[in-house]
Amino acid sequence: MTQSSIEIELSYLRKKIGREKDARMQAEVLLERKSTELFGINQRLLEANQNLDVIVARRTQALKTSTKRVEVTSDELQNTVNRLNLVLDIANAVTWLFDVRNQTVDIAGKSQSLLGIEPTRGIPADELLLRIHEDDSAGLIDELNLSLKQGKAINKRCRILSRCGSYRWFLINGELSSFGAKSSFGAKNSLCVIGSCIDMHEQIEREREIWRVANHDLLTGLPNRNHFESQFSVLASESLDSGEGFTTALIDINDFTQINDTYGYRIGDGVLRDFADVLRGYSEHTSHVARLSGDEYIVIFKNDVATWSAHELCQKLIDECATMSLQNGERLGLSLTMGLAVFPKDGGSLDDLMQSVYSAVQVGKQKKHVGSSCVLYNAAIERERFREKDIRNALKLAIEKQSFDLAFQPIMCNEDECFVGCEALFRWPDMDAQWNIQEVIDVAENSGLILDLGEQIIAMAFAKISQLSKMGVKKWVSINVSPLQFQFQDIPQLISKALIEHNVDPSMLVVEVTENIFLENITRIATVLSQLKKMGVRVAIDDFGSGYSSLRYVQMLPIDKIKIDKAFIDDVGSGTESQGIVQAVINMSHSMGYKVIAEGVETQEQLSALKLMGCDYIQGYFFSKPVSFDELIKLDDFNKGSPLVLKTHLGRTL
Amino acid sequence: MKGIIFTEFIELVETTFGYSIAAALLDGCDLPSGGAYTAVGTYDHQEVLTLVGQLQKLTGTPASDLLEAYGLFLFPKLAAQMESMSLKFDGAIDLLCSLETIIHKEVLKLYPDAELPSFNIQNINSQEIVMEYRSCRPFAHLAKGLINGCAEYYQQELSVSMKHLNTETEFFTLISVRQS
Repeated sequence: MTQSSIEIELSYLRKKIGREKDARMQAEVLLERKSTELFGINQRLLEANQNLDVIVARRTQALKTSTKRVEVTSDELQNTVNRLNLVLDIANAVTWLFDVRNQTVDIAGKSQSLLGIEPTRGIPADELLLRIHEDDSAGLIDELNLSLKQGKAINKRCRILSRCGSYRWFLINGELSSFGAKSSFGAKNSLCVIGSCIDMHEQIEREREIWRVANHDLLTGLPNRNHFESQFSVLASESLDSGEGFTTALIDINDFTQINDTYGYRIGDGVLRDFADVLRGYSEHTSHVARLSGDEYIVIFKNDVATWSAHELCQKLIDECATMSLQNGERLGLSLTMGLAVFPKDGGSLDDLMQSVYSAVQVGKQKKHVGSSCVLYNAAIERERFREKDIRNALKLAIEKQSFDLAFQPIMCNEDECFVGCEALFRWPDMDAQWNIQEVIDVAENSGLILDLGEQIIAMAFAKISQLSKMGVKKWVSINVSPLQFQFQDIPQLISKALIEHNVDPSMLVVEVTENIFLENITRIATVLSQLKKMGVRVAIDDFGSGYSSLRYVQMLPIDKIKIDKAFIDDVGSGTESQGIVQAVINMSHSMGYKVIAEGVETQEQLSALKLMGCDYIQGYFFSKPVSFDELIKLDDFNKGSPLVLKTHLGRTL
Repeated sequence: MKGIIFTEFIELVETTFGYSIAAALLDGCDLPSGGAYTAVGTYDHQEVLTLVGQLQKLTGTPASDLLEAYGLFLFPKLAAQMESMSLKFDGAIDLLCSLETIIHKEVLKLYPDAELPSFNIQNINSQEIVMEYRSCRPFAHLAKGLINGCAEYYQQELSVSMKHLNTETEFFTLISVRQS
């Protein structure tokens, strides 16, 4: 190594020492700075640590509080669960959860004792459905699908196979939820339906029994009017949807009251039950049979039963009933009147259709004396029905306006051929020319308008009697009172009031009633007529012989006169059988102390014959047609003021 | 750039070329630091480039060879630090593959302001990898020297080849490493 190189190296090493010093100083500065930084970091860590301790303490406290709260909540939850289980037990209920994804059902509650299902978790839904009554399962599935698709709540009554092997009624409620499946299977956000299943067997059975009693006739077990009306709504709706009509038959047992009267109610009830059984025999052709009232039944034939076929079946029913026997074997033979109408052709609503079948029955009733009949509602009946409707409407209006009048037909004493009285006859001056007065009265009777009309007639009659009285004409005036009035109005009170109001002698009034009054409660009628008699009013039986003609009733009732029906008088003098009947009625009446009036006398021959037979009074065109009041009082004989004293054959003064 | 790079470089020059070259090197470079380096300090990387450029002039050895030789020399020092940090690898390839994912992460913990190159590793197979060297500094050859140092450290034979794909914004080199 040369001197110069040694010097270079020495120089280098000296410089290096200098650089090393600088480097060490740099390092020391760095170290100092890093120490300071580390100190600062340490301080901050200490602070952070302290803060952390505070946070940890606070968090620990909060955790303890939360834990405590959770424990309390857990206790409360347990209590709630216990209470819920108790309530479920008391209510005979279980809760259920249907896991939609797994198609399984969990059941909580005493399902083992209620449903006999074990185990209670993860039951395949298909297996459970098999336990539901086949008539209810489809409905439940529908409700379940609606719940899943539209979120609708489930509320379904189902029969479920119970532990004892029989079906029991349960009420199944449920709602769609995403809650609960997680706790059951650990599957998060799984869709499920949660609900309850309550044993409602006794309650539903009671409801069904109540419904059955409310909707069925207790005597025959057939559906009643209430059930019929609701069933009709369903069938009518289905019929309108399908476009297929159906035939309806109203059945009325003719003269059923006679069966009750003759054999007693027990036998009568048996007949009604037997008849119901006969109707049940037609079930393959009918969709509904009901008993509407006492002897009135309704049948709705199935859509596929043509009207002509229904008519044939009705005819068959008539034949079957004609040979019916009582339970004791005695042959009875029921006579039926049946009215048929087609829905919706003959009536698009219950009321309209019922009116049609009733109209058809009414037509049939006119022929009931010849036996059973089956009448199909037709255009003629419809015309008649509308005609009646027109009469009814016009009559109602006329009653409001009091636009009626009276005509009077004199009644002659056979002995001296003097007018002794007259019959007040209802007249309607504004009446449509196409109608006659008798059909107007019939409509008034059928519609109940006779009550108001009858009152007006009584009032008008009293006004005229009062006029006669004031004129000093002491002749009697007879007025017709409808059986319906006796049934629904207090006739004695009505007449008593009028007598006082018009200050009229009661003996100037004769109340005429028809034989139909015998069909009412005869004891009550006897009482009412006795009240009239006590007031001094006299009573006559009108149109005797045309209807019920019960001698027993004639004897029972406190009457004064009997008016023989014109139909018998027409034949008097011609030597026919009628003449013998008239003679018998006159003799019988006289023997009971009643006077006899022959009405509708039109010929001299009739008059002569009746005189010979001893008839007391004559009324008819032979002497005078019905006339107005003004014409009446102008009649020569009428205004003589002869005393109005009728002598009976027994010598009693009436 | 960390001071250890500089101190080790000076030591390499002193060891390999002697004090006279080292003196000429430091005297010939007008370094902002004056060449007073401490391993724990941080210095401008330009100083390395200046030193390497000057050394190339003094010795006539290409800068790339100088950097590779420096990498070979530097690795054992870095390996010692690595061991102190309890970082252990199965071999050279394992270490190279962990460069980005483990070693640089640990370095950044110690020196948060360190500016490290990135090495994206493309595994071809267990014996061969391609390293994508990306840096704002032209030290791909230093990396190659370090890889060679790593092979020596694990006493494995690695063949290393490079393909420079530098762009205007960065230094980008594909370094293929195959274990034989």
